[in-house]
Amino acid sequence: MHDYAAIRRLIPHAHPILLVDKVLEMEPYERIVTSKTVSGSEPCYAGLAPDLGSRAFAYPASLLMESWGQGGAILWMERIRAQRRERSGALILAATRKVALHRAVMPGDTLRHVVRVDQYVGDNVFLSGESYVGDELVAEVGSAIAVMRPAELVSWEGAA
Amino acid sequence: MTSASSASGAALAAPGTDPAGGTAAPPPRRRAAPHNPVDSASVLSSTEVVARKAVRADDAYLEGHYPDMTVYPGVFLIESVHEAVIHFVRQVRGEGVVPEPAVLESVRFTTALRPGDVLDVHCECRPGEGDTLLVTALCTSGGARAAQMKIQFRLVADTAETGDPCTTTRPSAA
Repeated sequence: MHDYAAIRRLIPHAHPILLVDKVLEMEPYERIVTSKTVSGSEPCYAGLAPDLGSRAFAYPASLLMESWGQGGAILWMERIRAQRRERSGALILAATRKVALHRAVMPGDTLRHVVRVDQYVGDNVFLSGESYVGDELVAEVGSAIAVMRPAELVSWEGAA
Repeated sequence: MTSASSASGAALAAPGTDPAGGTAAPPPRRRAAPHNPVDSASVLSSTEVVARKAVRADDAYLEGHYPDMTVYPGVFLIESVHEAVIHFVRQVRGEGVVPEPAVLESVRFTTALRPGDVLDVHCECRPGEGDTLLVTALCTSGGARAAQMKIQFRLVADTAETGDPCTTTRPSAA
């Protein structure tokens, strides 16, 4: 299974926003289980006031979503590599629907993300899945669409 | 209208600047976020708040997204909306309550931002069931639509002593 170095070689994300530590399970190219341990030393915790309560240290929803979505990027890049193709642009999250955030994720928690590819359509991929800490469901993603677009094309109005 | 500069400008000031035009250390932040998600915010009415954020090349996390071409992660726009709503709730409900995202009902990104772009956020905030707030947000940059979102926030007590964030009641996905 992929370790951090293999993930770094495969997807374009780099430190400090490479938010998958390792791949736990993979069914090419349709389902993946990844893990990421949240640390209080990450940049999102820099510069916080000293008198805050626990809620202030909830892992940001944006980074939780990004970490979850990078599992989809791993599946997608594995598929492209198997097809002996090259990535033809940046990977960008285009849309999400019905993302439920059940409880906060805190420093010290290890996230276990389950990502399913529901459909590949050209340079778009449709995803869904969940995130857990231990056996506890912390987030559900009803659907997400990621797109691959050339660097010079920064708008994808009308994309799938 | 209540502006960030008159109400809580210290928490929302652009990093590295002060009103006199000199250089100052950024004030301590009040929650975890990838970086300061807004530079300024203003409550327009009992249901509206706007915010602005200049995307900077040295914003935390951008160096890895991506090393060969910087694209501002779309998910970071969710943080700008969240921060604008925090400002709104502070003005409307007071200091003891904070909003936390509960359900991202729909989020659609339409234009990628890059360093140098300025993000403008407009949020319409309506009470939902129980202690929730339903927010419809439009994000633009240079007149182009960057994102649209509908997010349900739960309103929780904001104290250092209370509120275990790991026992949140599960929201109902609309």
